[in-house]
Amino acid sequence: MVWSETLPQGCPPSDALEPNNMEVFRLVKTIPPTEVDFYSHRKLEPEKVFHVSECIARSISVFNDLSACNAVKKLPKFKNETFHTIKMLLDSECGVVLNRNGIHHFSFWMRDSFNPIERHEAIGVEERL
Amino acid sequence: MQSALEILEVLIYYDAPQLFIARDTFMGRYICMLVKQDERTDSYLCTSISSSRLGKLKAKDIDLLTVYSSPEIEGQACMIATYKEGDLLLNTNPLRKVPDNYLPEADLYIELENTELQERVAQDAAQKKRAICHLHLDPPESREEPRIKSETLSSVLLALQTIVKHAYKKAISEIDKKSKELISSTEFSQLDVYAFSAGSFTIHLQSANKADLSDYVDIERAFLKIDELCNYIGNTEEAMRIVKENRGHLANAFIRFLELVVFTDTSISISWATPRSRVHRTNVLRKEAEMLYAALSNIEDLGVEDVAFTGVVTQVDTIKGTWTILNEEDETRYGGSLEENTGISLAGIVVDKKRYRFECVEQIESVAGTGKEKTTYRLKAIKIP
Repeated sequence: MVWSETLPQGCPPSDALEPNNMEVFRLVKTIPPTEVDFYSHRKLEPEKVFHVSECIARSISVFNDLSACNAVKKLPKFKNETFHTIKMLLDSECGVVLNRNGIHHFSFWMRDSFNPIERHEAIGVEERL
Repeated sequence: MQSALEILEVLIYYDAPQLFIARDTFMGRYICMLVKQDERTDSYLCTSISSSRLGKLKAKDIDLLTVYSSPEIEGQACMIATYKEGDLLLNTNPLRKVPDNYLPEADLYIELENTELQERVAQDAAQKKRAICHLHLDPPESREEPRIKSETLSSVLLALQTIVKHAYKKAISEIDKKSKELISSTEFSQLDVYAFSAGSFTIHLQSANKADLSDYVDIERAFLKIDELCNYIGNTEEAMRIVKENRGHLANAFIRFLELVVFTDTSISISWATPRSRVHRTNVLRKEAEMLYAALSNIEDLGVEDVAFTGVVTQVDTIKGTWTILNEEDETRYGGSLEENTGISLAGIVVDKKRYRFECVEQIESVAGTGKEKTTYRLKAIKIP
């Protein structure tokens, strides 16, 4: 399996699941989004020591609920900048997901062949193409 | 001065822990929210939080902004904790003023799951080979220590058993008569309490009946029906539509359940599983229940349901307009009066010999202060089966 980022051994965890037409939401800085919007924390900050395992640090967060995703925008780190919400429909070709840290929160490991920029739909804004 | 913090529970995660509960070495508890990040350091705004206040936050009684902007104790301060190179350290010098850009927006409520609780439900269902239901209650008295008023406890158990009983009856009402006869006795919807545990106050219940060889337990039908009613509790319009579809005993039991949540200030979370199912979880939050209860209280005919009895008529009073029929399906006698403005008459009814089908309006009313229901039947049509 080829992933979009180099993953440590045993990552993704064995209980991660292949999504089956799963609708997920993520915050991005621009519409249309750019590659950076889908970089993991590890890719963005290669030297940093994180609170979480190396495997989780190399995933990105998605929500299976729009309001849970939009709630994040009310947090200080997000409210002071502009973030947009996008929707993606995930299947097994896209990668694997693991439900942790909240009812609606999933860690998402993307396959290298998956292009989220092509597969997204902007929510609540007119997309400027 | 600095104090080391240990993360106990992540409340919001998005590419990193955004909001969490932590404790210091003296067991002081703090809520910490990510406010700033750079290449090496994450900075968190922290304030101490009691079990009671955390309970209110988790029950959506207060929003996150209230936690930071309206301290529980006057003069209680916000502090900054930093996470660097694997150490989370709280600077115990209070901030004189919290910058506005360090505060969350209003109306940010926390939605949580309890993974440990869910695992226990699944384990118990698999081990006991029964349906398992954990009722997680959050009455005001349990927010400081695991206790509950005996009156609240008994009311909750009665309300749950009542709603399960009626949800089960409703769920099997559509299946054919022969199959229904096999699974309609009260033991199929009976729950037994087998344990209590803390946090805030959790009641562990199991189905009276064991699962069959395929790990199926009939009471699952009732729980799925209850999920259907509770799933849209935060969406009053949709919830009202579903309650209307389930009018009669079930709607009435559901309204009594909401009433209990509202008047005892007790949010309830229901987690259930059978040996073959995943763990289902539904939250009935006091705040959301209050809105739905108010809306449902304005609808008059939710306790009304159409029912039909088939069998011989055992008593008729054409002057008073009263009747009794021995229903063949459950071998029970039902009696009632005549529906007004239908022009229906009991004249000519043959007693004890001829079979009839009586189509009636069933009206369910709660008897104040007893938790019991009073059911009346009004005949609206007579047919020959």
